[in-house]
Amino acid sequence: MEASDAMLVQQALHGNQEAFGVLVQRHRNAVYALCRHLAPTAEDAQDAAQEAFVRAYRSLRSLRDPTRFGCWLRSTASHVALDLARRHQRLLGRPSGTVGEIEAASDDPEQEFLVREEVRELQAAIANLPEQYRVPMVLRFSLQMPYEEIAEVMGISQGAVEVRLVRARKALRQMLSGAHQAAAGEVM
Amino acid sequence: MDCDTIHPLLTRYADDELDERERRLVDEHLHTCVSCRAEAETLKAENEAYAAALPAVPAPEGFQEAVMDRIRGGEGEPFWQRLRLPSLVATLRVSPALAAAAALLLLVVFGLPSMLTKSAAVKVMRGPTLGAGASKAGPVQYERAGGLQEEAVRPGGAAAGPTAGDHTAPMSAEDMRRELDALRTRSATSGGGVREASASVYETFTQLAPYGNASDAGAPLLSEVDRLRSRVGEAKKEWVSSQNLGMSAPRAVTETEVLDNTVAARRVALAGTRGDVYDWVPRGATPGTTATPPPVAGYSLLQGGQRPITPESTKATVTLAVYYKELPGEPAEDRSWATTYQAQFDGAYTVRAPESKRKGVRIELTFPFPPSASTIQDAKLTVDGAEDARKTTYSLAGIRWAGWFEPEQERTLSVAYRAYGKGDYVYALPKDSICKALDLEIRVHNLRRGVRPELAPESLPATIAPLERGDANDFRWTYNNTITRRDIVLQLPEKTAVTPMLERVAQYTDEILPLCRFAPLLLALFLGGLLATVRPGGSPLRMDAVMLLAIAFLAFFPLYMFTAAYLGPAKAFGLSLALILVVTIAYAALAGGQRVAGVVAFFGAVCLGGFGYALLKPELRGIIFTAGGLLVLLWFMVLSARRPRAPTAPPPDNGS
Repeated sequence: MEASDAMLVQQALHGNQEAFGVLVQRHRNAVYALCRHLAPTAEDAQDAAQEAFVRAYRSLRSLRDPTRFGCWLRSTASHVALDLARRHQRLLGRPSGTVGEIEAASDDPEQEFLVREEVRELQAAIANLPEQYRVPMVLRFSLQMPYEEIAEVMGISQGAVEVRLVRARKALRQMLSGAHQAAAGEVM
Repeated sequence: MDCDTIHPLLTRYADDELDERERRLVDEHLHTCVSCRAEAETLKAENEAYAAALPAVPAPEGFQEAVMDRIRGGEGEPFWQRLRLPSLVATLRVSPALAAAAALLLLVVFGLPSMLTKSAAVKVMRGPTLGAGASKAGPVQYERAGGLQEEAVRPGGAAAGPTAGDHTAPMSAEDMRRELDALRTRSATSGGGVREASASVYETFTQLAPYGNASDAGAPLLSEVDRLRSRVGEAKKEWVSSQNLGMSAPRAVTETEVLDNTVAARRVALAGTRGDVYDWVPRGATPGTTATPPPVAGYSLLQGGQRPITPESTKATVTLAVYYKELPGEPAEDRSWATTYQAQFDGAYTVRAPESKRKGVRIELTFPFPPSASTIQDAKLTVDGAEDARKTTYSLAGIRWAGWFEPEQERTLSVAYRAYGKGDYVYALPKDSICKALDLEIRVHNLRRGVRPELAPESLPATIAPLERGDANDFRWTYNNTITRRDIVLQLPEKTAVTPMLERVAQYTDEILPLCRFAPLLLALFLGGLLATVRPGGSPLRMDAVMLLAIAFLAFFPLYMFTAAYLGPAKAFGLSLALILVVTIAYAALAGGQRVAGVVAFFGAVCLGGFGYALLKPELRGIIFTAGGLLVLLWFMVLSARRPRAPTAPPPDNGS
């Protein structure tokens, strides 16, 4: 029987670091992916993800419901990553819009190139979304989280999550059609 | 179902967020509506594109290890777990300056009490009896501060003893014996012998005193001194019997005692200037147990047939200027200050010859100079305003005059001199006659403001309370028809301005030491309370912050010690407590917020203010400890009542 998050949290609270190690193992990919899509660079993402775990460990006692550890952890991670991104933005004076290329695997080289172009455009568009739209997008499509959990991570209602996702799609469509038109204009 | 109802559901349909019923409705509608179907397909395609653009990137290699390393390294760990030695060492390594400061402070706090103990712990031992005369009954206790064994006391040459030229090193007992034998021979031929012998004993004492403490070497030396002193006593008696200078025997014996007392008084005076606690003579003893008070600066009036007569009135003024003379010492800290005075004496004695059938009577006046004086200047005796050089003899011992009075003739004898001396100033009153009208004024000046001379306990009290006027202190005695065994003994204050810091602190050793000894316990209480109250998870009070708080807490003790040297224990305690509390509370508020500040305030006040004060005041110790303990108990009770119920213990982890 695999120990639940809640059990592991309890054990960690009683000083069992190995239990927390299991939690790290269980959530590292989700937390890292979240950070990777919110933080400007891969290094920043790793820093943010590590920091999120350390902070979580430090304030484990303030977690009211140990069964919600995952959402609580993701929430912490999104804050850390966004903080990092904001600092990055302030430092460089421009939005951290250009997320470094994130590889998506494909078998056919030619197909892969086309897909890559599309993916890169879309990634740039998502990176340029405001935070309030970008976070639910990442949670939904990268972490495959249901609305209910996204609402919990973000501390908003499910309705608000739906609204934000709809608006995010609309904004992305606008951005992408605008980009296509610009590309067409350049060609002509 | 129309498109308007279905369309808003399409996003959730594509996201798979619809419940069973809604999903069936949308499915049915999509079978019939082409545009909605197209929209749904677009959304699904978009979703796929989004998922492709936002891939689930796996965490890089070694991610988990890195996180666990950071956690094991103490980052983010609650401090009770971080109090493990390795991580504490790691913290210390991180901030070496902090560690150094802590170590220094610990050294000061825990080193100072032991320093105090070494330099000021008062050892009391029973010394041999002083003086063969045994006028001071019983063994004399003396006390002396330890730690000064190595010093060589060198009196400033004030006493003109034969050893005056050679007191850089203590004399050997053999030398002393030879010296005293010489004195003994000399004393048979000169009246000054006794004075010299006394001076010699004084010198001997001075040189041996530092060795006369608890050390084993001191005891035989002291008994040697005792023996020598008794031999000097014998020498004096021999002198008394062999040198009858026309004075009555009791007079001469009295002078012997005077000299004995002078030695003792000088000893006390000198010891006093060193800041040590000597008590060679039972100073505060009742007059009954002390020797006959010394008629030092008094007079002796004898008519023919050696019957004493009493002057009709005595009026004298003494102006004393106090100076401090530095006694050399090696090292510099051992230098001390002798209290010296310059006294201008002006006295007028109205003497009336008794009624007599005879033609007249021969009256003899003996007026000794104060034996603590080393030099006399401008000594002058006048009779009715005129000097009578023919009938007056001057010597270091004093002035003698003899004159012829007609019956009931009244003459005024005036004495003036300026004396330079060391130690207390004594004006002796006649013991064998009534003192008809005494009017004596002593004015002491050249003292620092606030420093006052005092009358010795055995002194005749002043009739007018001493007045302080500017730098002068006036004392006045107006007595009529008085018979007393007391004298007027004015103790000149010792120099206090140069008292070294450590000695000032040492004054309060008894108060300070218990408090300092309990410093670790108080600190442990404070830290324990703090760490037990502040939830490490909720309130990020870092380890270095706790350490700094502990240092600030400990800083109370040296602060208290040094302020006590200047303000006295009570004021210093209040001031140091306020200062330390303000600093720690302010820092706690900055580092950990309001809650931590409150906790620090509570435990600081209880541990330092309550328990610290209790350690200072033994009579209140019980009640304060009880109250403080109850307060702490109450604090934790309230805290545990307000704390949310702890989660039940997890089952043992035997899964995975």
